[in-house]
Amino acid sequence: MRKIYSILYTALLVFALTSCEKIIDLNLNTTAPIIVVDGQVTNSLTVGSIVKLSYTNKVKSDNSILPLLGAIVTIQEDNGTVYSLPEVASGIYRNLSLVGITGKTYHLKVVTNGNTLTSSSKMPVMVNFDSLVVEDFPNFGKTVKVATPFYNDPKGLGNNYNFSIFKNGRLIKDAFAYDDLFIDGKKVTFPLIYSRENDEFKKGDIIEVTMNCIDFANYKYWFSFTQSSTGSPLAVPDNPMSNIKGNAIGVFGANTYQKRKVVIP
Amino acid sequence: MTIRKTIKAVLLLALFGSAQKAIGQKNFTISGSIKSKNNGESIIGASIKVLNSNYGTTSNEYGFYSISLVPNTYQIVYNALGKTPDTLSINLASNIEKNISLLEANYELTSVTVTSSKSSGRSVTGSQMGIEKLSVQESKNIPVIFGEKDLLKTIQLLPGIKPAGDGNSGIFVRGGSTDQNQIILDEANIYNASHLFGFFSTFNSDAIKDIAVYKGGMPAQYGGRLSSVLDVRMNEGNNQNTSVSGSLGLISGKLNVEGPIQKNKSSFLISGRRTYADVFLKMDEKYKDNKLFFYDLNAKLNYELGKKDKLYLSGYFGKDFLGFNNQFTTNWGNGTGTLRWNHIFNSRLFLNTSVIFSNYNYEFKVKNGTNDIKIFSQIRDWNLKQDYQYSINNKNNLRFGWSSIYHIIRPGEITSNATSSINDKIQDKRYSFENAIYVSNMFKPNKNLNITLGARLSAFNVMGGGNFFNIDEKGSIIDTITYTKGAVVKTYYNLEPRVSIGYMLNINSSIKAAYTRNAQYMHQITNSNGSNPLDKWASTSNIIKPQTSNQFSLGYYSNILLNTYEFTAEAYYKEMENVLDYRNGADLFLNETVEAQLLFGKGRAYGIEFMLKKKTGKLTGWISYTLSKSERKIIGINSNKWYNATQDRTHDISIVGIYQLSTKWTLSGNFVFYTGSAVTFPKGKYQVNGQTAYYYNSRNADRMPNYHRLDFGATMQLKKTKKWTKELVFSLYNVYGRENAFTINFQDNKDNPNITEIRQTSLFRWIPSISYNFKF
Repeated sequence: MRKIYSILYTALLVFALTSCEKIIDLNLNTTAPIIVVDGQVTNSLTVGSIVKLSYTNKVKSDNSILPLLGAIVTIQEDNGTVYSLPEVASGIYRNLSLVGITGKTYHLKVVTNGNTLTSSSKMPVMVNFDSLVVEDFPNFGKTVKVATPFYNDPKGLGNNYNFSIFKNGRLIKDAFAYDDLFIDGKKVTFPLIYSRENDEFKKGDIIEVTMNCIDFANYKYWFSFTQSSTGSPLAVPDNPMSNIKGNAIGVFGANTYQKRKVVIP
Repeated sequence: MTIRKTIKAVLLLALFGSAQKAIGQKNFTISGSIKSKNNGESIIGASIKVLNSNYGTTSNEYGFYSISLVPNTYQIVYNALGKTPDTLSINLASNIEKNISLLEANYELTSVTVTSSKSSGRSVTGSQMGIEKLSVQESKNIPVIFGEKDLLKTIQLLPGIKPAGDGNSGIFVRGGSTDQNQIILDEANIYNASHLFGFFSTFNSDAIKDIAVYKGGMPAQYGGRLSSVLDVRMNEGNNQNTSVSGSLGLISGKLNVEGPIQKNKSSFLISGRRTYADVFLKMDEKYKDNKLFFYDLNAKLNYELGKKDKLYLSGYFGKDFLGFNNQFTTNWGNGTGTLRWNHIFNSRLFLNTSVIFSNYNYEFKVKNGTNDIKIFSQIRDWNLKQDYQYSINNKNNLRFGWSSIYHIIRPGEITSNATSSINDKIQDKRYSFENAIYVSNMFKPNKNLNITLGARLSAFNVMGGGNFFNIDEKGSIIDTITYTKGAVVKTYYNLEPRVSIGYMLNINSSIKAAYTRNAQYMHQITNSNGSNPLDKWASTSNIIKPQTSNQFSLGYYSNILLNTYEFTAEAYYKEMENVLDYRNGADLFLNETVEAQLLFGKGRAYGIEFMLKKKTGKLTGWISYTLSKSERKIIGINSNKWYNATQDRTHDISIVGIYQLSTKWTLSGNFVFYTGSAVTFPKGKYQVNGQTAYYYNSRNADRMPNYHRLDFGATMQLKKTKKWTKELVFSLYNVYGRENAFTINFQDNKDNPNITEIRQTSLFRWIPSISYNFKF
């Protein structure tokens, strides 16, 4: 539903037939690097649990990550086991034996240069990812192929979802976060509409979609991410709502994980 | 302030006027109505001056005037914009009725210099300040985008009034937001005054007589918005001859029919406009299944019931349609109706009673695979009001009245077909009463001083039924209270004093000062700066407090070189309370608990506006310059520190020139420059879950590139006889093709996703247009 604003915006540009776009350069202010936490516990044996720590980079630099090295990272399951996540690569902290369980709360603790960062997330009920289908979607004068995940939202509010699309193994940079305010108890069949023409699906493309059931704080993070960081003209110029306590930004979630695959016919 | 104290204060103010009454000799009154001889339209704001004295008045919104003087013989001069003045000698020994018909000045064709500009509201005399007036007649030669005459765009060339965006009819007045402008058409509120995302206003210039914009010093009869009042008046219809006029342009076609029903007594007007851009869309294979158009229909009837009574019935209907294949279709529009009854009790007391209806709604249909979804929202007002104007004596003019509005909002309704993934949801309707009483007195103690003292007392009742929420600081709902329909949830009162003083320094110059307080009970909740048809109006509630403002202004006015030039300067300071913004991560879309997502804070705006206008001669026009600042401080945004409002634009320059080359050709041009809007650019970037994210830390600390543009226009008079007028109007918008930034986005580069590109989108470059106007 949130796509309506961008549909209106696109319509506006179509109307202003003379509109033009160009790449410009601006003098941008910069800020001292801020710590970024990007962590998740999943219930998947293959994906496992991984915490990536980095610093913010300059806007005009490339997208490479400035890793945060040598932190001490632990995750505690409820009030029980404390798992330690050793640094397996620069800024990447991982423990394959930590596999999340629905209903349990995971407490993250990161200690770095005297800074302590914490966060908690409860792994929600896993809603079954029933199927993934390819559909035609009319997109301003031409028809494109899109992928639509099918699932049945359980009765009762509080289910939140996050989807990611991979085309031939590469992540498409669009975030899809939904709550169940309008879809409670329904069979959900909303296509995932990617925003860039370059990402258009062609015959033979292998499309994989991951579905995460996420807690409310993670939904808020990803929802505000779609509002803020995608460069939409209607965007809010603010950071996504972080659930990290301490002097850092980013998100930590205990998410269920399911993946489905289709080939574009 | 308690209610009792407030009422007492209002009564005291009212008494201030009548206390003056007892003094001196008995007065007699000259009263009547002022009309145009050519078409019988009543003239608003015509001046009535007593020669060789400092007495005078102006005609009101219905052309009625009344002036009380001691018995004597007087020379009275009647004058109005674009009309030939008329002087009458009157021996005043009893109350006299004088109805005046003024001849169109340019009808005589004696000179070509009769253009525009004399009607400027920035008059040296009187105490009213902060006002800009513009008639359709004066603005007709100023070039506009798409060649579509539009008062809301032309007023943006005046100081203190800025466009919300390129080619946009939305306006920011003295650092306020677009929803802080009260836009009324024949007294009816227009909740969305724009078509097609703001590129056109809802005001079809063929049907409009004039517009008055109050940027400050609003008279007490107006209330309900913080930043401005845009009072738009429709033509009444020619009661002398039937006439047909129209135009064909690139974008739209217009037709206007008016004429007498009974000559001199009653008349009608019907005016329609429709755009036909959709016809061009159909020609392109790619867009042929799309639709995109709007129409407007204005109608007015007026009828004289007798010497003392006159009825006016006016209506406006407008609608936009937009559709892309069968994927989605939407329509939105306003509908208004106004019934007015003028009654003259006697030569001194005039009453207007109005019943007003106003409606805005939108409907949105989305087809998405097996999902057919319909979204609907509506705001509707019923308004009853009475306005009394009483001419006490030659020194005092009293105005008082009351208004009561019943608002009904249907915030959002979503319905869908059986196979859709959506549950139907109908949000509770919101009901409220907005009431006000007011009184003001224009007092002229001596020949150099004018004082207007007034006050408005407004009261707002938030009514049940439905659920109301209590929230904590973080916006979480603490509890829900259900009210039955008709129950009062909460009542707010505001006393709004309005004071203005004008002092004539000499016959050609004056200084004025004003203080105005305003309260606003209806708020627009929006996450876009331009006009978005889906922007939502919310009434004041237990959580949303009324917005209030205090504005102080000071001005200098002078006429130079025998009224050839006019120079004015006005400075203002405005503070605002309870202005709205929304929380980070707010989801405004059809949100039942939208109030929990809002943040409240303060605003302040200050600036100085200069204008030099050339009013007569072959070349007319003006230069205006505004230096201003507008800031907000909202708990929860920008670490609770003051930050630049989106409306903040430091420098703003407009130059307008109209040159009468010959009786056949009129040339015009305008140039606009303003500082780029305050925006927030990212200070850093990072990767999260494989997505590129941007880091922001200070709100609106950056600037869009400066905006500037030059436009040219030319009008060619084709044929002018007593019966026929035909003209061709050419215009070129953005002559040197400046790519003014509409948006600036940060995103991964298309070809190399490992770097960030900064992409600027511009809307309009070199928009030529031509239109053909006719009248017979």
